[in-house]
Amino acid sequence: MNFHKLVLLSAVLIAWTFFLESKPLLESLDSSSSRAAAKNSIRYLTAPFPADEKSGILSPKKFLLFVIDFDDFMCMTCLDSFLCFCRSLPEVILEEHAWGILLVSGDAGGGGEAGNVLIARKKLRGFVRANRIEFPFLVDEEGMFRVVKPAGSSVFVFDEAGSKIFRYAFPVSKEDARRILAKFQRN
Amino acid sequence: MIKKVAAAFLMTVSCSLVAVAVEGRTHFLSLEEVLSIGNFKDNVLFQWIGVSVDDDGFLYVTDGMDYSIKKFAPKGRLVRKAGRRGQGPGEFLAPRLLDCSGKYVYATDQSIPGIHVFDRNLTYLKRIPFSHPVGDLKAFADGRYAVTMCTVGHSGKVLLHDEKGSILKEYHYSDAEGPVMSDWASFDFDAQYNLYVAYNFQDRIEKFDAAGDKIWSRSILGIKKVPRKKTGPWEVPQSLVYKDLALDGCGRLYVLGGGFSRHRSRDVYVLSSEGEPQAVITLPEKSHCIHIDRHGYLYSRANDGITLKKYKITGWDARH
Repeated sequence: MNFHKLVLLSAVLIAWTFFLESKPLLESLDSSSSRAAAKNSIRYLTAPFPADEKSGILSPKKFLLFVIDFDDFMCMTCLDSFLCFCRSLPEVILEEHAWGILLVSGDAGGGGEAGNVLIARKKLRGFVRANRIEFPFLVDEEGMFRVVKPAGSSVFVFDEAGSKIFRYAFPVSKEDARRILAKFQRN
Repeated sequence: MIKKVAAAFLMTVSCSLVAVAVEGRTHFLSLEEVLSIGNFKDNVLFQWIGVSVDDDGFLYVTDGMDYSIKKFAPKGRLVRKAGRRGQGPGEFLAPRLLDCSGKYVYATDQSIPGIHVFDRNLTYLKRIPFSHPVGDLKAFADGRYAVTMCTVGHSGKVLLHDEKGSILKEYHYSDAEGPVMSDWASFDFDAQYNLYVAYNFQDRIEKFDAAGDKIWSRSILGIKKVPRKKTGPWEVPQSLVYKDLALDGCGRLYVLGGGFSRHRSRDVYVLSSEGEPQAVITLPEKSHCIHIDRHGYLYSRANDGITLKKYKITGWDARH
């Protein structure tokens, strides 16, 4: 590798590092509780610890990811299905093992992609506050989850071995809700 | 090449002529923003849906995202909020339409058939039950109110109730057999109790007198048929022709166009009380509804429902 290529590579690496520091890929909502919960969830992902003996459930690697399409924010049936499913789960699962992602696309407000993100952030803030959602819920500002949009609003369940991901589209049937809960209960 | 350019030119000119002819515009109106409520940072409005203004200038709004009804001072300050998610007294699952009379504020819920009644301080008073979700709602100063119902059968009637809930009159605006939802409509009454109806899935705007007899009928967009798609057992229309209708104090009719308008969900067709086209106003942003207050100000949506805009309509000459 000649000197010029080395300098160029260094510059790219420095720029990339700066980019990562200045612009988190998944920016949390502006609330301290969300940030604290997000930190906890990151701990789960990076440093699993033994199951909570008191609750008698959970394996720390098990994980629920709610992916909600912004288009469904005007569909009360879709949101009701999501809320009913959340309320059917024990609080401890939601608080410690769940994340939410809001997909943004289209041009709802006519303000382009940037305007859309601002609108999505605000609507999500209202929704989270009104429904007292305690787990971290993020806006997919960079479109990283856009690939799952065709599947529609869904809940992804990561099993304890980390080898399988199950997807359940909303509205989740009672049978599927029981199935998901069973994955979180200790055998 | 020359032929192509000439064809394009002729096409453009003919389209413009057709558009002008269809709109029949005789006035050039514009909108001047006088108030904006809700922005990206505050927690005032998250997804407003219904709006109304009382005689003192207070604004009332339903907010679907936080299951509430809100009252704003004339200059836009939030003065009161009521409601939360639920099915109990004063609670909402999907708050929608709203109107206010001299004493009461009426609000509907898409998921709970009926009307929630509040006083003007947003204290919950009662719920008026209905068998089906309310399609449109109009409250009168004397406590009377009128509704249409959303049914998959034929629902083409407006029911006028007294303050206690007894039906005073049924206005049958549509008795024709047609496909499902074809008689869903928005409506309003003028001071003489003449009824104006804008069909949601047909290119029809109509006026009926207080006795219920049809005075006129207009088609202003030239839409012959609305595309439909099989959904379950029904063939459901795919796009709204007219989304909302409002009257101003001078008897002019304002009709918000939907998916067939040149500017989708932004064009407002203004008609005289005789049904003559007067003007077309294009809203700056798409809106799901419009409201005109007693002073002639127009209210519509911005930023996909997190902002409510109030506009002064300018351009009417002295004769109007």
